[in-house]
Amino acid sequence: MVKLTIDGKEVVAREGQTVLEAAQAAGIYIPALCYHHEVKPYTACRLCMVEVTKGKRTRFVTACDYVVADSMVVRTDTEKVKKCRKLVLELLMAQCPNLPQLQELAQIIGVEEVRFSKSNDDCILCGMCVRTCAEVVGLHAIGFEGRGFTRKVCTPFDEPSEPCILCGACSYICPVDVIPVEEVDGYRIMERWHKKSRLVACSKCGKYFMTEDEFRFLQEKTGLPEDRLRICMDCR
Amino acid sequence: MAEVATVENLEQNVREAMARYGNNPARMIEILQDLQDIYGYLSKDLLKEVSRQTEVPLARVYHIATFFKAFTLKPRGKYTIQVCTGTACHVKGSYRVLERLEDVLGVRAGDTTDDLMFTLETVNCVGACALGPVVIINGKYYGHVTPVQVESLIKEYRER
Repeated sequence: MVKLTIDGKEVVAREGQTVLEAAQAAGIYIPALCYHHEVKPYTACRLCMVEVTKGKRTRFVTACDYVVADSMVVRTDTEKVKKCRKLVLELLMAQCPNLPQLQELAQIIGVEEVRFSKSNDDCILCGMCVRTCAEVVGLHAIGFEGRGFTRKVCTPFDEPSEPCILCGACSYICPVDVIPVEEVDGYRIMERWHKKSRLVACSKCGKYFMTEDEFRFLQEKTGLPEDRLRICMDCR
Repeated sequence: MAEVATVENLEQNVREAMARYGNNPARMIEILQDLQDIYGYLSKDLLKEVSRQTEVPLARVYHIATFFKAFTLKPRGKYTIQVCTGTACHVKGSYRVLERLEDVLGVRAGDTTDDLMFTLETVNCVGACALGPVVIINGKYYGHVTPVQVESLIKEYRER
């Protein structure tokens, strides 16, 4: 067990836990867009910056990957931290001016205007989809392309990605909800990845519940007999 | 110089490039550099073959190949024409040489002609300012280049 202070509050955390996890457990709010407990910390959004004092030294760190230590003092509410957060969010909003999730955060954090020239992207490049596909699904169907201001998330060569099974995990995890999944006429379509796959209907209720690509993937992975896999979660 | 990519030597070249770096996928950059030296660029088929043999996901290989400016995914011409647009060359009128080259070749700086003969690009100072405007074709330096000379220079290389 590790004892630390966050915003003046005594907090007990597990060894190896991050500052963000410890704060969340203690009910202290730290904004974060690129963090999820199922994937490794990535420190891409920079919104979770906090001030950490260890001994005589104070420094700014990203709370999502900074591991707690005994007698550490964390501040999430100083003027410096607030200023830092505002700037980070302002930059994100300049990159993607039309995301309601960012507008919402702006209300909380207190960003009133964006002083930078605006771009019209919709992706904040947090890499949640890329990491979920790789770490949770285990397929690496999508990735980054380029760097700097030409960096983007896409499938290799921006063509339909062979390993993609259209499971929709990327869409589910996206913190700004810009990876739409559509189901039309027995197909699941993901425009962003230029791919569609026929849907499989449940053998009991007849409702579509997964794609054929997903079906093959699960069959291979679990080795379950086909008739068992063809029954949806509700009918099982 | 550049080898023509066929399926057979693609597989072999990737295998050899990997072997040179102890079949260690962490040395992807070096592997890709070696392969680009052979083919002049990194083709889709090549990257797919690298992914297959190194067992590194294609999305990852693609990320590395697009991240570094030293890698190009587009085929390059037999001759690379570099026009210096550094300060001294610019003052000496290199932009007019560049414009003329773009007209004669029918491509913009950074692109390659459809017949894969020429790749036109700009560089910022090659340290030969006294010779400005400088044009370099496959490592050969041409100094005091005028827009008038461009056409005959290109013709010379076309006919080689």
